[in-house]
Formats: sequence, structure tokens, C-alpha cells
Amino acid sequence: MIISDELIKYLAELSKIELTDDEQTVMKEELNKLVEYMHLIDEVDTSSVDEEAFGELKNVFREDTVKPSLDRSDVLSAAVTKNEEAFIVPKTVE
Amino acid sequence: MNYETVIGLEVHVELATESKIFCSCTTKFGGAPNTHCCPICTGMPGTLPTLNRKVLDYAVTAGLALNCEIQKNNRFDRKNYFYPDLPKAYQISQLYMPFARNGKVEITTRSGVTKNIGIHEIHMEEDAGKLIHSETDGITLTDYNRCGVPLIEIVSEPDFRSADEVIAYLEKIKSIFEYLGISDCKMQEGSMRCDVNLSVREVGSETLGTRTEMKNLNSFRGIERAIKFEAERQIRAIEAGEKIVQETRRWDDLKGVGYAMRTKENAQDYRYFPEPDIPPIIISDDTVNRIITAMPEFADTKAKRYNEQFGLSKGDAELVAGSKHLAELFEKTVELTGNPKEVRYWLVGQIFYLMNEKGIAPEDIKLSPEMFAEFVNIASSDRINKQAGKIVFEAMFMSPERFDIEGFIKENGLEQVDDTETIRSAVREVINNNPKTVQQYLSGQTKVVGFFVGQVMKATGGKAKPDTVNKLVNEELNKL
Amino acid sequence: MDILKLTALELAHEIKIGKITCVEAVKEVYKAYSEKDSSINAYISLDLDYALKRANEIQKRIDGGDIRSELAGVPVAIKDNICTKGLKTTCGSKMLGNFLPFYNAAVTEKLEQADMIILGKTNMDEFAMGATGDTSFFGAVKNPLDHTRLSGGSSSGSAAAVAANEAIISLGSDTGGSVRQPASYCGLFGFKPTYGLVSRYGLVAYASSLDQIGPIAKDANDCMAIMKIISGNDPLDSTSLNADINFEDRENIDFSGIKIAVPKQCAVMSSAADKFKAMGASVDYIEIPFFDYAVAAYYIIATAEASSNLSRFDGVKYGYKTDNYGSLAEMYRKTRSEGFGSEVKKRILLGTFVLSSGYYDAYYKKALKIKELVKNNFSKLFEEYDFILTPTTVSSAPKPEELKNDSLRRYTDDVYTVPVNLAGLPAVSFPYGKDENGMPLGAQLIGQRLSDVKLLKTAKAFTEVVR
Repeated sequence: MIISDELIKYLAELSKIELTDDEQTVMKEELNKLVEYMHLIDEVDTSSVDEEAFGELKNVFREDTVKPSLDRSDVLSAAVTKNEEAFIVPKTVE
Repeated sequence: MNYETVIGLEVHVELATESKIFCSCTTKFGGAPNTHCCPICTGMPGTLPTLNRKVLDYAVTAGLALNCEIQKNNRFDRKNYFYPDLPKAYQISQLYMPFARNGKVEITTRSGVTKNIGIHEIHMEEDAGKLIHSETDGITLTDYNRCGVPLIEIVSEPDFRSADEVIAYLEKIKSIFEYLGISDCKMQEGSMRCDVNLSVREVGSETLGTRTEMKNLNSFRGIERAIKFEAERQIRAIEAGEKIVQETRRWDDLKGVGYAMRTKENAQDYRYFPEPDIPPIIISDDTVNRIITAMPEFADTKAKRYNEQFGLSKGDAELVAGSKHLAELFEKTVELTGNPKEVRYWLVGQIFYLMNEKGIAPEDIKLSPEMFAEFVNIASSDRINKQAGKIVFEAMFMSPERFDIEGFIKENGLEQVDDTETIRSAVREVINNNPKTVQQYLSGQTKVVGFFVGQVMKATGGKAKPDTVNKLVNEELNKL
Repeated sequence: MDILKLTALELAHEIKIGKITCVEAVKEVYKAYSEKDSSINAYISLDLDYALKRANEIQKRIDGGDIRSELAGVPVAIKDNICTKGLKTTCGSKMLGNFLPFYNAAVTEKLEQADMIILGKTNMDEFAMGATGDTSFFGAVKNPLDHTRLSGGSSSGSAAAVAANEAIISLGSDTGGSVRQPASYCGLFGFKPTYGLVSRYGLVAYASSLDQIGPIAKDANDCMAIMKIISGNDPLDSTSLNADINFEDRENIDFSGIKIAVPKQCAVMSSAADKFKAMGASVDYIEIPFFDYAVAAYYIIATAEASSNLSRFDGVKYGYKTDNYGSLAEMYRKTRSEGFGSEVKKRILLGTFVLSSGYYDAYYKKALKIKELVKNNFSKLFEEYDFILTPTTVSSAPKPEELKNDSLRRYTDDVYTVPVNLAGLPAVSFPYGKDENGMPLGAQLIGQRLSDVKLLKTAKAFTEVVR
């Protein structure tokens, strides 16, 4: 089993997802099934392909011109916690 | 025991493009919070980045100026972490394929030591937003104006051995980028920021000690103090038998102390992977050659040229060439007047003096080359003498907006007097009023001539032409 | 005339010649919606007032001879992960349950400029993650052809709406089969364009390198007509192509000289293959070994990108935010745990795993190499063949209980659709036959990059002959 309890806790912390003990048990089982399945790729010989192979597109640019920004009320419109000029989050420093 | 400090730098420089790296919002500094924002730079669902061509141009220019090898194949990567200053919860950066590697910068410290600092790599990335902490109510406000302002991060090799070298390096980079016009490198506005990786080791040791990383350094003075503080802290710890912990430390410039950040912030797994929304960038030899051709002359070469071509002393030449603004002012004015000698006289004598006296930084000089040239032409004619020139210059230099040189001269009656009769009568009057000094002169003390000249100048309100005064004083004295 | 039985092009024609007004068309479709949708659940939101307002405006233009596209006046339903200014865009998630975008997706703009009438937003698997239509926060979508069965997914509502005549045509998004598979389950045409033909700007990203918007329609010509409207280079999407493709080309295709490959494991396609042969094409049965591992690589890449794309849902700028927090870290954790459903969480965790330090090389990097390998293998096949013919899905629309206790099946059922996305190719699913329960089956034709028009023309010719 690749995904241990410890690893799943680590992944949950990294992705900011909280799992109850029960959820963790189910999730661990399902993730391990999927990870096991993914190991199909181990047997594939990929020595013939260039790791840095780039696709068909390259060098797509925009010119350096300024366009008007949005009204601040629009920027903030979809947020739950805000004041008239900014988004509000819990204090990030002690 | 003797210790040596080993320092490597990560310098973030904001590129002076008009618009952001991945959207068309302005990069202007300041502005009311969240007014330089659009759905893209605030990470709204479904929005996509589009790369600003000028960012790549500026970045490559910087890479070439720092003698790097420009990489042909380039890609952006996502650096994933949650923080309120990062609306997408990932920063678009370059980890796997930075655009420039293996550069070097030659620095000269204040004590005159010259050495090379290696550049490990330079990569492009987007800046994060600004967090404003409320003191009273336990909240933080987010301002996304700075989100998406283009940055390059210059990662040096651990080649520094002192704060002096670090400062020389930062000043050098600032000067180069100013010349290139790719960044204003203002530490106080955050357009140049610096993280310091520092370790200490016994002199002679080949292996590196455990390093710490200091963040949040936003002035040259702060960097100097932080380096001194951290080196001393590490030496003290080693002498006390403690182990140095690899950690990120924050420098508090107000209190003058550094402290370790919580270990949680230290353990990071950024899960970098190639940015799928931006196709790869291939930098062709043509692009590199075009940029090399357009490269301006840098401070070192300029200083040498000023010294040889215009006769500036080595020190003066370096001072002028060290700032793009001063160099431009100097060169343009010389070009407009064709009188390098006179330009040099006023630049070195007056501009340097006034900058020092009034605490003005080169980039804050408002005087235009056109006005300076007009002044030089007047000053080199017989219209005003040097003394009056100094008065005019200071007034003009301090507030050059719509300054009227001719008007000022007239208003203040500074026009030079070269009327022989007027001056001669002033000379006679001075001679008559100073019989004692006349006796001294007649008894062979010829150096009192200077006294008479000074008195005549005073009597004519400083406006008389000194050559004429000199001539007439001698004539009249010889008549006695 | 039964408006609801018309294709989009037929309806547009009737509107153009004045037999039907677009207001009538909207009202007729709305009637079907109000009768059926409480049981089918194809829509998450529908804005009748807006649709009628638009219909009136457009009708005036049409009356004045100003016809802005082939599909002017036709109502269209779009998947709820495509941003619509002022109309809720939920992605089938509690996380965006109340999200009201203040910008349009590129395709939304294009539909509006073409004078199509956006009727509403269709239900979907949460954040387009799933192939069942039952992971939506707004409830599962029932298959209109058999309410005990699923409609497939993730563009479940887009398929169900057209199948139930609650829409004339719709747009979905296809990351690993999410347009083709529900179209197949519902007896419709589903088209996945070449990656980059349709702008992704304003499509809420699941897996950026694989997502592509595509139509679900009653026939191939409808797909062509709406592709003409929504395709084209978009400066706001750096991955969008600048391709010269003519979706107006509806000329019949000449089957002589068309070479079709059928994977040996797809014996089920032999009758379809025979019909292609009868029409003049040549067919070879060949080994295609890379489909299986393509699925594994697909899930690594898709979940990796998803884990990053969905990180922005943190309660700060938009969407759901927990009430129950003290610190910043707690706000993040609670918001995301309460806002996302379990399938989404699973994929985020999986994606986080394959990118995390120590596992990146073995999983993500290897999967990228496999992606290249699959691309190369397809390219080689297309040197010899025009198309690859496969079933769209392994089976017809399942009942929910058939999927219980087999979580892996939800992933491996996509074996024929997923490799197409991995290689960025176009593919069309068209109805072909029925199973023993009378449920429709779909056949899939895969073509090389930018063979989109040829693919749709072939599907059209084939289905006309078979009908």
C-alpha cells in the first residue's frame, strides 16, 4: 500500500482538505486502488520519447499594452468577506 | 578561531513593463487597493494567462547584461501553495527550465577590491499581492494590484564574503538595469527585493556550513545590518557548540533583529509542474542577437570614456557614469553645447555639491539637458561671471520647472558689467579709500592686488567681469 | 410542426423563413423543461426572462433581415462550467453554488454574437469530474430514455437536455470523454474538437491540457454549424489555435480511399466496420496496445492539473466560505472540505500525490512521457489511416447501483475516449445501434489533428446511410 495514513494526512494538509477518520479510511482504500491501477505505466518503455517534447504551439505572446482594469466593486462582488476596498482574511501574522 | 561568511543572494527585480506579465492591467506602483485588477490577475475561475512579449525581451536583456547563457527552450511552471496574497493559489514561475544560466557580474567594493560574482540562474515569474494587517481587529486585507507584476529572480552563486560585496553587487545590478531601462530597482517601493542565504565556516574550510535564508530585506542599510547580525549569531552559536538549523528567518529592520519563522512555513512542498496554459517559448539566436545589438553602453565603459574623452577625473567619471540619469544629463548637455569642459565644470562643481547638500538622488534630478545647455551657453559667454552663475545655477537646479534663466539674471541684476569706465571709476574709488593698502603695494607687497580686485567686485555687486577688473586694477596701481 | 423534433439548423431555417418565431421556439423548449425537468434534472439554472428578452431582440433583427449566423434565434443550453455574465455558474458544486461571474467565457460571447439564445446552464458532475452525472451537488441527472439509468457525464445535463427536448442543441466540455460519453448514453452526437480549436477562456478548468468545449446535438451538421460559431483563435487563450478550418464545408464525402483502423479488441464494431466497407472505405483490424496505459497516464495528468486548478477555491475571492473558523489555515481547510464533494476531494488528493516531492518523477513525469508516446503512436497510425473506429463506451448507460462498489469502473470505462484527449485529437461519437434493453450505443471515430470537418462529414454520411 503506497498511500499510508501518514501520507494521506500529509496530502490532505498540502491540499487543505480535512478528512474525518471515517472519510480517511474510505479515501485511503480508494486512492490505493487507483494508485495501484496507475502503476500500469511502470511497464511502458518511454525511452524513445523526449521528456521535454514540446507540442505544436510555441511563442504565443501578448503585446505590452495596458487595458482598463475592472471596477473594484466587480472584483470584490463574489467574495463573502470583504470591505469596500479589499478582501478580508483572518490575520496572517502574529 | 577565524570565521568566514559565505553569502548567496536571490534578488527579485520588477520589470518596468507597462502592463502585467499575464494580463493587460497596469503595473503602476501604488493606486487604491484592488483597482489595478481584472478577472485574470485575481484568479477568477476559467481565466487564463497570456504572456507579455516585453517581459521576455526585458528578461533576456537582463540575462545577457549579466553575462548569462540564454536557454533556447523555455517553459513556465506552477508553484503551488496557499496564501491570501496568491489568488490562484499557484505562482507562475520557472523551476525546471529557467531562461538564463551561468552568468557573472564583476563588482568593485568601496575598499576597491574587484571580483566576479557567479550567477547561477535567472527565471521569470509573477509577483504576488500585498497583505495589509490590521492592528486592531485580527484581520488581514488583501490588495491584488501587485499580483502579476513581472519579476525576474536572479540567483547568485554563494560567492560573497562580506556585506560590502553584497552592496556593491546590488548597486551594480541597479546601475545595469537602469541603463537598460528594464527596471527602476527601487528597494523602498519593492521593485528590487533581496533574500540572503548565509552561512559561516572556518577560514580555510572547503565545505559550506549550514545556511539560513533571510527574507524581507528592503534597504541596502537593512541588508548590511541583517548580514552582520546573522553572521554574528551563527558564529556565537557555533562557538557555544550549537548546531545551525537550516531555516527561513525574517529580518525586522525597526528592531534590528532577525528571528526564525515558524517551522511550518519552512516545510514546503510546492508541487511544481509545467504550466499547461502557456505554450513553451523558444528563444532564437535571432532574438538574442537583436537584443545584443540594441544593448547600451554600461557604466564601466562609460566611465572610462568620460575619463579619456572628456577629461573627467576617474572618480568623477565613475560617479557620473554610475547613474543613468546623470550620464544622460551629462552626455546630452555636452552634445547640445559642444562644450564638455564647461559642462563638466558645472556638473562636478555644482550638481554634485547640490546633490550632497540637499540630499537629492540622481534619479530625482529634474533639470533637463536642454535647460542645462542653455545655462552653459550663457555661462560660457561674457554675460555672467562664475559667481553670478552659481546663484543662477542653484535657483535653476532646485526648481527647473518653467525656470527662465534670462529673466532671473535680469530680475536679480546679475548681468556681467564690462564697461571700462564704470569699472575704472570703481577701481579708483577703492584705491582712494584704502591708502594703507596702497602703501603696502608700493612697498612691494604685490599680492594685495587680490584685495583690490575683491573690493572692486564687491563694489560692483559681483557683476564686473573679473578679467577686466584685474586688468584695470593693475593699470591704476601702476600709475601711482 | 413539432418544433422540438427539429434539428438546430432546421429550426433556424424555419425561423429565417418566418414560419416560427424565436420567441415561440424559446417558449416551446421551456414548456418541455417545465414538464420534464423536475424528474430529469438536466438544468441547474434557467433564465426564461433573459431568454425571452433576447428572443425578442433577435426576432426584430431577423425580421429586418439581419441574420447573424446559421443558428440565429435557436435556443442553446450550456454546461454550468462555462462562465455566463450575470447567470450563475456553479460547476455542479456547492463551492460555486452562488457564483455569479462578471465576465463571459469566450464561447458565451460567441454564442451571443451569433444571436443564439442561451436558455440556461446544465447540470454536470462536480467540476466535470466523473462520467456518471451523479456527483453533482444539485443531484444526479436521469437518462431521459430510461429514468432508472444515468445519463453519463460529466456533461450529463447537456446531453439529457437535448435528449429530453429541453434544448435543441447544447455545449459541454470534454476532458476525457465528457461530451462523447453522455451523448452516446443519450443517443446523440457528441463532438470533441482538436485541442485548441475552441477557446477555453471562461471554461472553469478541470485539466487545462485536456479540456475542450464541444457540442452535443441531434446530428453532425448541427455540430458543424455550432462549431463554426464557437471555434477560432482567441488571444485570451494562449493554447488556442490559429487554424484554417472550414466548418461551412458540408459537401458529401467520398468513401473510396478512406482507410479506417479498428482496434482488434473492438470486435463489437464489426457490423459498423462492414457498413463503412460497403460504402467504399477500407477497414483493417489492428493491435492498438496503448489504450490501457493511456487511461492510467490520463488520470495522473488530469488529477495533477485539477489539484492545482482547484486550489483557487479557498473562500477568499468567490464561492463558498465556511462560517466555522478561527485561523487562516482553518478557514482554508473547512471551506474546501465543506465546499467540495468526495469525488472532487479524491481527485485533488490523487493529483497532490502524483505531484508531491518524492513521487513526481515516478508518476507525473512518467505520465507526461506516456502522453508523448501516445501522441507519437497515434501520429504513426494516421500516416496510414484516416480514422480509428471504436465504441464510444464499454457499455450503454448503467444504473446507479451497477456502479456501487466498483469505484475503479468509473475510471476505466473511459478507455476509448481518454486517449483522444491525451493526444489532443478530434473525435465524434454518433449513435449506432441499441443494446438488449433498447438503450442507445455510440460509435466513435477518431481523426488526426485538425481533421474535424472530415470527421463530422464522415459521421454524417454514415448515419444517413444507416438510417
